[in-house]
Amino acid sequence: MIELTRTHEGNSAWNVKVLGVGGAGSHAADRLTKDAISGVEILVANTDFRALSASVTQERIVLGQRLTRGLGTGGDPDLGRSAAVESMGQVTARLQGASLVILLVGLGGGTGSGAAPCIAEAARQLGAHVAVFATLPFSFEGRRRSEQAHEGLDALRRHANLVVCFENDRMAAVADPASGIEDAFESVDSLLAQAVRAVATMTGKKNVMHSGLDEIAATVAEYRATALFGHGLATGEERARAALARAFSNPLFDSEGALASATRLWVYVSGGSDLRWSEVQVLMQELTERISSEVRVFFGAAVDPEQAGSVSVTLLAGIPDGVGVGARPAVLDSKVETTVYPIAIEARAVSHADESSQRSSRDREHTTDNLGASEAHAEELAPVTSREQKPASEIAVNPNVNATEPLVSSSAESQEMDHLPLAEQVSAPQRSVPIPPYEAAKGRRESAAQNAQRVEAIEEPVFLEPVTEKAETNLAPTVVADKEADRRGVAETHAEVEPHTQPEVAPLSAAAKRAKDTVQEQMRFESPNRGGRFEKTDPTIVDGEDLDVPTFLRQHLPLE
Amino acid sequence: MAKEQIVVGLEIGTSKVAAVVGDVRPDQPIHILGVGLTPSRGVRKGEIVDLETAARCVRDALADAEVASDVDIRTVYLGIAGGHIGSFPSRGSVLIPEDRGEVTYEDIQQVQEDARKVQLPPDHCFIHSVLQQYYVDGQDEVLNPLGFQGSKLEADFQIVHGSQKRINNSIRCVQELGVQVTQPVFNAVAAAQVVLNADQKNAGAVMIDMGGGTSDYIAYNNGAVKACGSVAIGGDHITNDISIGLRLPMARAEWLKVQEGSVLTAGEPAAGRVVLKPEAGFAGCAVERKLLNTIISCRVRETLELIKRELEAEKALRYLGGGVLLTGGCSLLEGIDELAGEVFGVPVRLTHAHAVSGPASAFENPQLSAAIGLIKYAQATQPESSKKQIGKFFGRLFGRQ
Repeated sequence: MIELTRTHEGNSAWNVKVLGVGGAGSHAADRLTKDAISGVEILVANTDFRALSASVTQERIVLGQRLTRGLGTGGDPDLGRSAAVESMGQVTARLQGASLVILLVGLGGGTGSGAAPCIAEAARQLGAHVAVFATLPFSFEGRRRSEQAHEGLDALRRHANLVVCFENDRMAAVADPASGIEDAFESVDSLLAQAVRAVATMTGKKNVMHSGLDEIAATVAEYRATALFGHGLATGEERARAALARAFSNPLFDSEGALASATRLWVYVSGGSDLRWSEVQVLMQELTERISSEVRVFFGAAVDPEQAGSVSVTLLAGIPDGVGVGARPAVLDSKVETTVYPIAIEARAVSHADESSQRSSRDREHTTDNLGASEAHAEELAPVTSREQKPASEIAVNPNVNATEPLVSSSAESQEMDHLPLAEQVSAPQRSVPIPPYEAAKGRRESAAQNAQRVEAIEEPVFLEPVTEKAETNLAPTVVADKEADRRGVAETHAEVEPHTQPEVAPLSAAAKRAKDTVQEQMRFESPNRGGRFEKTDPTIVDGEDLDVPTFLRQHLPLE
Repeated sequence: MAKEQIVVGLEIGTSKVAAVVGDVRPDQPIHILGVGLTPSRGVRKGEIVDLETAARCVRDALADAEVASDVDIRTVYLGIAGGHIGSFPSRGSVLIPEDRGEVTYEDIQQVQEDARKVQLPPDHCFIHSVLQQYYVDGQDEVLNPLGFQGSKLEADFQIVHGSQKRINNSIRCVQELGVQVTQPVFNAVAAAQVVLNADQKNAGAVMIDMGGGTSDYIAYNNGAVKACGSVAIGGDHITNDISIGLRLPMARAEWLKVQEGSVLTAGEPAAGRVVLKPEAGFAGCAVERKLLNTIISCRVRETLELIKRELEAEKALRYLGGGVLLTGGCSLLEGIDELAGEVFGVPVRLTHAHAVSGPASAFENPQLSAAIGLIKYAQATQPESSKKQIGKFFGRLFGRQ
């Protein structure tokens, strides 16, 4: 009898290499190494020899050894660029044969801002796809670094297929504001690692419903878009719903307010072989309830035998330019305050083309001249410091956007895909190189699960917060589409969506109203404290009260 | 010289597993030879939730006790607790045939069996039937009716019962290690043996053993058990409350509770802040003492009030000449005696095992009250195996000793 083995699309024949460039990039790469993500080759490149030798990643490339003598660039991007040019032969030799190169870059320093764009360019020339996960420096790192970072970002956008940009300041809002600087950087590293894992895992899994980089690109590429990124993992009963809730519930992701203005949503579901159709159905149903019917949804699902018992959901929402009002956090004196910017048309009109939508609020302070009219609206800002605040409500949706497009589109038919013929490239090597489909991806998934567990373990219970708020990973980076988007000449916007916003009195669009309605359906207070310590035990119910819930909560004692 | 016998008391608690090896001679204080103490895992609220893990902890504790006492442990008295344990009074009665007219040992046995003819909650089994008093022809307060003239013998028993399955889980956990369980004993009954003295029992006293997962209580009146039970709330809940209220990991919440915890919400103990130093993976923070103490105190107060309510329902708080005694790990909380005094309206004392000899560190530790009590319980019921008839009789009298 002839046994037919199906070679699934998207297995590890899709050669993925992750390269951490510079200090921050190396740290993030180290995090991936520590998490033992397998099926992916991890490398680090740095000009600072000392920092490089401290890295736990074994594959190391010293950049510009002759130029800097292994001493680093001293924060000079020009030196970083020259160093990359000097060592380019070494870099290309290591990246040879990769079909996807993921660059991890901390922008702002010399190596990250200077060398990374050169490496991205070289990788593209090798025929690989290049995805860049970059961080912008914290505002306290100073204006100079921020400027260097944005120059580096612009350069990266010219060469990479996909640039996902995280603002460190935003991520600091996720972390405990009182935490030390080390912790803040640590959380940045893990967020980067999480995002990389999501993309790398997607390309390595047994996809039952295909989804690929092409769809991610389609989600963010059409516009010079801002995007929201969320990831959730859950086990046990109702895991599909829980995973979705976790992906949504990041205070930065801000489910409703942001989604109301999203026009594209990329959803990627993966689970063990016990992933049931009904679960996917429930999940998608729940999802469609939360989003407007006009949103174009890219859906992918994968079965991963190693992930038995759990379901993970990865969300990427693209918010097009010019679609409404966004809000961004203003980080002032380490106190996270949030402001709502009702961006008027004229605000966009006067904004400069080089003013990128990813700039954090601190830049806004420096460049208020560029912002023109939006300055006037700053008066209306309502600072918010609490996580419990409602999402932004004043989101106006352009009803014309994608109104005629189908809800679910599985193929990349839009013209912006021309420069990204990924689907073809993905499938070609798979057919020629049959590699055991599961082995390679095994460790990676394990590590992903472990990581998720560990993060969950160190999560602290949150007082008066729903359980779902304790999601393992929730990211809200801004995703920058590649240079194609630039060419379309879409005006710059500040339409970023941020959850820490005060509801303003403003007319609600239909979509926003709908979004607000769905807030009601969320079980915000569903047994917030029954998990954890007493999860496995029978509840101690006396007089209808669950005594496992802290007394001070039941008695409503004011603690602050 | 009375023959010595080695007895092992084993308590699989929520926070720790304690094995105490004692040397028992009739009519002499028990002597502690060695203690094995390991942190417990796989136990929540006094009940085993992870058999394998719990068994490992039990094995470690028994091994430690063996080393400390140089005794090969084969059998143990197993202390049990948990919210499933309950008690109620029951009266049994037998008619004495006219031709005999005298209470015999068989009558005494039969009256106990009669008292046990009661409906227990489904899946529950008897743990103890503790004698309260006998009546011969309506004459009460009879201590020993053997040989009394009469036509009717009655007796009040306090029936202690618990879930068969959960008790079996605990027993299995021990048996898997090749150690036999002589008898499962309710922790409060055991602890009362060494915490309360005869005077206190006669004058009426309440003992509350606030442990990690449960708070076990027992009330004595006229030297007999009036009520007992277990509330599935303990130190674990306090830690959990702190963890949630102050948004700290469990380990740090536990540290705060043990090192800095107090139930006093006013005055000096509630002033100022506790600084938690930053460490790897922890950012460090400062905690207002007032906040911490409020969280602890409202949980402790609630638990004590709950116990008080249960005891009042059993009318067990009428005579409290012996006062209220607190033991168990939670009794180490600063100011808990004041708080309990406020709740019960009588002076409350912190206590630990008495009437034992051996290393002071062992019996002066209120966490070990129940484990040491198991040995005392064994002593009280011991003759049962050696001197059959009289032994059984004494055995059922243990509640009075």
